[in-house]
Amino acid sequence: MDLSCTDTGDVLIVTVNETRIDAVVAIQFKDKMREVTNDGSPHVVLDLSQVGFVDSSGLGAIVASMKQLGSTKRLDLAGLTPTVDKVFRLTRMDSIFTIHDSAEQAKAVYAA
Amino acid sequence: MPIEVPQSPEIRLLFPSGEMSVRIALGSLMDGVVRFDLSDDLMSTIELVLGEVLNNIVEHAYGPDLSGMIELLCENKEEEIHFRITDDGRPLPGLVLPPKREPELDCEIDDLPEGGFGWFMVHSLAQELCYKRLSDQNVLSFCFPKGSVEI
Repeated sequence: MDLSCTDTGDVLIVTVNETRIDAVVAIQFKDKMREVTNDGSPHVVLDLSQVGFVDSSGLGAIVASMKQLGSTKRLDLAGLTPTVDKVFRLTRMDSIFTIHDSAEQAKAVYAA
Repeated sequence: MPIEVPQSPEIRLLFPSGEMSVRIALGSLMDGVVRFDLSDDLMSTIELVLGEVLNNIVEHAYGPDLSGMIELLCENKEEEIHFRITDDGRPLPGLVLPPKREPELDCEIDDLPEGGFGWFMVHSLAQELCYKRLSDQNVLSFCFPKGSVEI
């Protein structure tokens, strides 16, 4: 599970450098998210622009990643591709997360 | 130059139960389905539903303690794409499909569900969903109308 991080000082952008978050990698994803978000900015944005497919296991792992941030941090999403967007809309999870069009847009939102 | 042969309206896949083999089978299915010339929306619906159905067989029908094969038949019909999935694993509890239950999101972040989305997505996206237990096999069939509206 290849995640890369950019901390602007205002926001931590976590980019998923994978095309799928499915049952094969869901647990690895959740563990890696815990590792990379352990400290740093209170605003975390998950950039999913390279991810073409998320299944229910992947969705569960993204929800778990938000929960494990604790009450002081919030996880936003950015760059949903059409299939991923469909999963979030269908399960109404799009009402739980703040969703940005792109990581760049999210950076602008959180720029001090 | 390769000789063009008539395109079969069927795709048949047989593969062992396992998360990685489901990922590979799903890739093969989507490569095969391309020739049916479906909309992007229907292609993504097919990939989502088949992903859920196949992973459910891996996780529950076979589980970590059983090994076996999964058979997938996809038929391109005039008005719809029809699927039939067969496995030799454990039956669904009560021999019935789990009900369509919407995820409960009206709660604190800590109480948000991390599972239970799979069958909800299958019920929401697939039509004519039918489960049968036939001679120690699970047979799940469903279809997707080609003229379906975007979700």
